[in-house]
Amino acid sequence: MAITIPYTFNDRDKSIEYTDGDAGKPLVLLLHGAGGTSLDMTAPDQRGYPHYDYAEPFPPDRDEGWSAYPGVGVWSFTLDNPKEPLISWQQILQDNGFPTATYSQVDSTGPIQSAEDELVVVINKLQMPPAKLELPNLPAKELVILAHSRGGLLARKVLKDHADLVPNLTTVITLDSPHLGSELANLANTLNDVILWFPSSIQPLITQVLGDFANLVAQPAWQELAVGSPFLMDLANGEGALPGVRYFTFGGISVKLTRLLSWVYNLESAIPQWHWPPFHHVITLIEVPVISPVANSVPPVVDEIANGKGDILTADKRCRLPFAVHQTNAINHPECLWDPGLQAQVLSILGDDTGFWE
Amino acid sequence: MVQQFPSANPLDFVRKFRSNYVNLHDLWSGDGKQVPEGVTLRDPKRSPIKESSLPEATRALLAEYRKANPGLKIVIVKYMRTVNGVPETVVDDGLELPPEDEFLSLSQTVTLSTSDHIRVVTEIIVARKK
Repeated sequence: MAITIPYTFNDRDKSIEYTDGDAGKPLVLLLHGAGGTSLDMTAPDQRGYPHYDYAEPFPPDRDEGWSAYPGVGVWSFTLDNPKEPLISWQQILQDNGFPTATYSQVDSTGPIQSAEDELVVVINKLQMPPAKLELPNLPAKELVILAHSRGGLLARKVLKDHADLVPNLTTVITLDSPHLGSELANLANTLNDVILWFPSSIQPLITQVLGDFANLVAQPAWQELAVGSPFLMDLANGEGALPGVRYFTFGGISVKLTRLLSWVYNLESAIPQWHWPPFHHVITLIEVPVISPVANSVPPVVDEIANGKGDILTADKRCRLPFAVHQTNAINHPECLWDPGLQAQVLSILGDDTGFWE
Repeated sequence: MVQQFPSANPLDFVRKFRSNYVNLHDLWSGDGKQVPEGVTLRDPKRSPIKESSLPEATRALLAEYRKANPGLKIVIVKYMRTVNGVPETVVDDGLELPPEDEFLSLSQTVTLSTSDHIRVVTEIIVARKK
């Protein structure tokens, strides 16, 4: 059951979306990344992130009917269909009995400071007596932070600046959070250059896939995460694990977002038959060689966009913390929001079983 | 960008050609039937289809095929010229298409297009090979 817990931040009325869980299980606070909203954690398919089903089998040939002219070459370019349904973090945790809380961070494309101030308010709110929150059950005694992308740096910043804020914190899990920065912030035009690397006829399609990422890395929220930035240096300076808190980091090493597909005329579409009109157009779906899939084919200018090293926005080697246990998965950045394998790994951590890493 | 196009199955195509075939001679000749306006229908017995009158490119293809299959006898049995998909000249009789293992088709399409005009001329030849 979802409950709305109102709070006020900077004179704005906002709310935490809380879902109930089993007594005794920790409350999982879900933090989205830069440019995100609470939907990242509750309904990622509504956020417009690339979630193409690049493993979907090809459909059968399509009959386009008879024509007066021969069908030759490419009929159209397209991308994989969306993968659905996507199981959100809120849903999978709820299904496994964990209470959850999430909210849309203020100014999620801006510098992290205001998001930090807000998170302090949110955590204080969640620690209020249950009667004041009008929750049906007692809030969980323990708290887990599960953070995607910049949300992981937000968690670190709050815990460093407010070490005593969350005495009941047991676990911090970050999903593809660029703890050591992202070179895409240093080279903000890289993703735009990637789009331009593709043939002009398909750049509109590639913009559909990569355009939002290209815009994001130019935002102040991501610029703050440039490798070697004052913010990151300051955050790491004197930082350590909080006593009694377990830290887990995840990194992604797949830049595969979608296959680039093309409907092409079958050869028989070019051969006339004894028919009026003479050309029977039949098209077949194929994967475009060399430049598909996106973005495996692009020159790996930085590790963030190199398959086997990055996840489109972050590099696995820069998603680590010296005091955390790290796991690498072959998934891309948005897939962290719904990947069943990653969800199983996190559930395993929450169930105190980390055996899969050994 | 090198595009990989799907290959065609020759037998499959011949079968489709045969299944889509309509004998235009029978369709347009006989009691109460008439040839559509603008179409010339000829009988191959009266107007034999001479190989020498075929477009040069199709004759070259045929010569290439003969060279690869020496001793083969090829007889042209049907001819159709379409302009923008509409038949203009048809040479056909009441005979059905050759069986699939004797079937051979040739064609040539030439086009002309401008901002206000498109002309697509296709010539289709059906032959029997033995």
